[in-house]
Amino acid sequence: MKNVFRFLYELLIGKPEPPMETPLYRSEIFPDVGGVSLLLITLVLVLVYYYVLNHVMRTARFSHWYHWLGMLLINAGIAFGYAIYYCRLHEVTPDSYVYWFAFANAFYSALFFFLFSLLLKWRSYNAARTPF
Amino acid sequence: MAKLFIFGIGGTGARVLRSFGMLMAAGVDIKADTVIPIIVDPDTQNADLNRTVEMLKSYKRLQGVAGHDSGFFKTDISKLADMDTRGEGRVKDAFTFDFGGINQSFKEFIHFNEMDPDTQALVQLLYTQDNLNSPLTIGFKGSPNVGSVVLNKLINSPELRFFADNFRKGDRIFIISSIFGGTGAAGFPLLIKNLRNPNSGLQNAGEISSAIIGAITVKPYFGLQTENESVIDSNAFITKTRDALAYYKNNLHGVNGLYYIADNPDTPYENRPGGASQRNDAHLVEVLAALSIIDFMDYQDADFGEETLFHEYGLRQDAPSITFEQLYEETLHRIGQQMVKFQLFAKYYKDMIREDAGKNYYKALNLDAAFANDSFHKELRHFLENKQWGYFAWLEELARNKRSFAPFNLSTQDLNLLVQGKPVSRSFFNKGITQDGFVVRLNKEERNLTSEANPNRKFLKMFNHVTEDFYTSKMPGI
Repeated sequence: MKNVFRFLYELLIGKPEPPMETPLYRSEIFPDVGGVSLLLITLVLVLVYYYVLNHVMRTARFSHWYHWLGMLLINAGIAFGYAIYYCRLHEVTPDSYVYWFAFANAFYSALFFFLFSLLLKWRSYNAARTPF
Repeated sequence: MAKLFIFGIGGTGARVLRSFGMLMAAGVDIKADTVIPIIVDPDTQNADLNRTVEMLKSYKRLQGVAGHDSGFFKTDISKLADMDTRGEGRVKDAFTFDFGGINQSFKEFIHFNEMDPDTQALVQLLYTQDNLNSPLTIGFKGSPNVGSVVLNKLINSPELRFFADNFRKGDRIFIISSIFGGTGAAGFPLLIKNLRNPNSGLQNAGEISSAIIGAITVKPYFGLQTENESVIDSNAFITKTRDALAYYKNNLHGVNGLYYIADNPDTPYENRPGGASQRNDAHLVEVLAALSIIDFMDYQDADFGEETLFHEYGLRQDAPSITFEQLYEETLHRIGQQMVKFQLFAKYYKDMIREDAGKNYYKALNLDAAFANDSFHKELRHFLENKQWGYFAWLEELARNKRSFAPFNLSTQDLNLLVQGKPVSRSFFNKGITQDGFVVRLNKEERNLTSEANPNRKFLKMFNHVTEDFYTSKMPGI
């Protein structure tokens, strides 16, 4: 799993900077941030969107594509903030790489939100065809 | 179950059939496999007749898609010609009797000029000059003595022979007529006499003569404005009714169930003797007369004996404007639920459904494309919204007529206020019937009805289930 996250982040933003922080990113930050925000938080938000807002709650008010897009952007925002928070928590060197990492995390969280949506939407009463 | 042949005679027959068609569209139960309306009126230009025919044609097209289990439009309506399996074209493909265009006067019809002087004198004793010179193309203008002669042509018509050929044991016949006009008052006893005659020469005459026959005789329920030039005087309606009833008492035999209905005339209609200008607003009496057909079909064969069962209709409460509150339980039980369900559906379809674009069920049924291209939706919109004969026009006519029948609030956009005098109760946690509630239920039904392959039938079933859910859960008081 570590290698997967390392591959994904470095594919987008290259090797961690400064070089002395590389081990910390690869062994802790990438897998932790990726695991929590890309998988866990994104999955929770997808489930909340499809099975709380559009299933358990007896309303179809939130089933439009723009509601779904709103949730995707919220998820991306959380991913962006969580990445910065986690880097600061581990006192990594304040470098522009932190923000590129946060941006990459937001991008992947949106991508994962989209993929999870395709996988999980089908049994939702009111949003089985959202976004399409 | 078997077929039900309904003879709608004259303008009243056509108007009652219009209301009957609306009740069937709403999905009111009628215990017949197929209903075959046959409108008997020589006045082919009559606007009331043509409105009914257009409605029946539209209903038939919708029913062809809806089938028998979609909730709405569930009873099959056929034309006589539809039973022509051999495709011989023996009868005109229409809901109306073909009088072959009687474009002559009554005088010409009876060959008055070829009669000897004594017979002419006798005829002049029986008929006024107006009667004799009256063109038959606009009917009999309230003169049953003219109608009874002309309508004798019925027995030899291809339609009646075709009807007889297709009549089977167990089929029933119902006749709708008015007693105070011309065509209905003349046609009803004449038709009964011929149908009950085992030696009429018709195919299956034995089966027909022993068939169960019901009828409604509509007594005066509207008046006409007094016009010196018009040959129809509504002041004579009561006299004509009394005379006809006296005749029925002694001469009308063989009706198993006979229904009577009447009302005190209020605002008089425009005095139009016939033709395209005879276009009267729908009236409560016509709806209640249509109910008699449903009531008649609810009886088992064994319920009918030698004696005629007579029925009259009464309101629970007299009022100038009738809502569901003034109807007895029995009537409500018959039509209340289906009328409310259909009204919810029709209202939603007309005013709200387009706002659901993007919702789950809407996308699943591809409704944007269906509304634009599918002939079913074009027909449905036509049936509901046609200004001349459509469902909403019918409701508006009923509501503005005197006496008024206004079970629904036609101006509100709030579905909770749709049924007059019966608002849906609401609270902070219960918003009653809302568009969001509709969408949630429609989404659910769309998923549940996976076995229905036909999207249009599925569409009707979804709305039938959803409106039923609303009716049972939100409208317990109706």
